[in-house]
Amino acid sequence: MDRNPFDGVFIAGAGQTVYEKRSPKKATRLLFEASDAALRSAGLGWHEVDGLALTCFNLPPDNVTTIAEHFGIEARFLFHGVYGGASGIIGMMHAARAIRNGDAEVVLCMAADAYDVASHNETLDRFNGSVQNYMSPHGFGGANGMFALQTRLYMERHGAEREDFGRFCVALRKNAQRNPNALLRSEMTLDDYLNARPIADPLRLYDCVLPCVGGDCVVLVSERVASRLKAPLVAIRSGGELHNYPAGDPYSLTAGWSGFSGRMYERAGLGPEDMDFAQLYDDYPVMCFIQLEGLRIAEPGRAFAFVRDTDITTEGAFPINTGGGQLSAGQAGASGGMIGVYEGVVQLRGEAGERQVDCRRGLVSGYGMIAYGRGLSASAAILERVE
Amino acid sequence: MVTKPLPRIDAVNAPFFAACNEERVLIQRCAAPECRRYVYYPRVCCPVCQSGDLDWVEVSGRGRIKTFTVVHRPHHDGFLSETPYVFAAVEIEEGPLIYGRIDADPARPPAIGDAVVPVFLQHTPEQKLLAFRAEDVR
Ligand SMILES: [Zn+2]
Repeated sequence: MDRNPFDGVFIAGAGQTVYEKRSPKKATRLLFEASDAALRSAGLGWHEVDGLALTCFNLPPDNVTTIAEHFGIEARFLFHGVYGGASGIIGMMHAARAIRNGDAEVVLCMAADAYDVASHNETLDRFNGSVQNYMSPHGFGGANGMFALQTRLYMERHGAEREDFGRFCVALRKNAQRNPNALLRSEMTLDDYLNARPIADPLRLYDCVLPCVGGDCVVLVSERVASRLKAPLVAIRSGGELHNYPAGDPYSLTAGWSGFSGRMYERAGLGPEDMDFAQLYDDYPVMCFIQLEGLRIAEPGRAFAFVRDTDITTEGAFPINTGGGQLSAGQAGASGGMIGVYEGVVQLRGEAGERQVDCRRGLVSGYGMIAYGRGLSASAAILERVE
Repeated sequence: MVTKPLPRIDAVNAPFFAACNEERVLIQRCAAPECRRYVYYPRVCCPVCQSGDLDWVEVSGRGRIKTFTVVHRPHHDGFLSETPYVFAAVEIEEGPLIYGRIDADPARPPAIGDAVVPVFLQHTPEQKLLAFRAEDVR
């Protein structure tokens, strides 16, 4: 029997900064604020922290080791994510394995960035060698251009229409209206979506995440530490990651989720029908469709039809991105890989206020490291409230 | 004037970019007899069989549009004066995907599957870049 490698590890707290369009705050400060909030929600003190898992695009020349020094942490476990928006969940899984092995007891899993459109574009221009040398000089349009290519192909191959992506984005905006931390909370209609200004055809403004300033953190603890905490606990029932899948084909309209989700569900003894929500990595709606298919919530090539037929708001049958996701809360760089984990934990703890959904367990998902035509890294986990 | 981003030319990719300046499409081909796959972008080994022996070979550069976009908001200000323009992934006859601009009227963009042939754009005074245009025009 394939055991769950995360047994005996618990998520004991979650913290998030307010998401802002502009702020004088540096990424380092955002990492601190999100972590501090997560520790307080767990009822833990900084002196108990003995590990950090961190992802932040505009941190260099600093890294997780120099952040440990900056914060004054003697660390037994450090992880620095190099998987873009898949890093948050991957870091959390690495931390959980370390705790299970007895290498650490209290690990902060954090991500943050202080981004705007210009710094986002600058980062992406030199994101890695294949982008820098073989895409950027041709004026590829950044992430918007790259996912415009994926979106057009998805529409052509599966018969999805602009309205299908629009319905998804409009539902997320409704969710954001109940999230005080979300950046974009004004009413958005399907017409607003369809008539927004063109960015990279077929993508228009509301298909594209807004780079912003923010940070998220969850704190993982051992069973020993968890046993003396009063805070509600969340377990990681299963999880997975897969990179460069399928190798050599940027236009399969699938990604790593299709390769590992079967084993992920099997290890948890659960199926997609047991999930009460999904917190997807929503940099672009097309990637959410590909995730819904890879995570077996929808049939291959049919996620657009699933979204046509399913209310995905917090009042619906299958809520998706209950805080508005990155599409409406904003994409604070690397924090895009952690915002869904934060939201999932808050929902499972019953602390989501106006946007609370009825849930016992749900999916969180990450995606990133945009390279030659696609993001290379996919990750996901099943989180469950401990009764 | 804002300068456009340039490829970083190094020992691995220099033959490709030198050939662009001569208006030739030079890509790699795996030398392993049981593989012989064409490889683009330039790499240190074959990504299919991991052979470290790659030859440089000239190809026609003809291919078909796999997917495309019309860029209205570029990621770099160096391209602002050229918007809107067509950017595409082209699957060349030998197999690999090559990204490049499509020399086409953005108001009448191509379609997925359209046949294209290579053209070379003067990117900077020192460097031409591979681009494409529809096969049956001009
Ligand atoms: Zn080979």
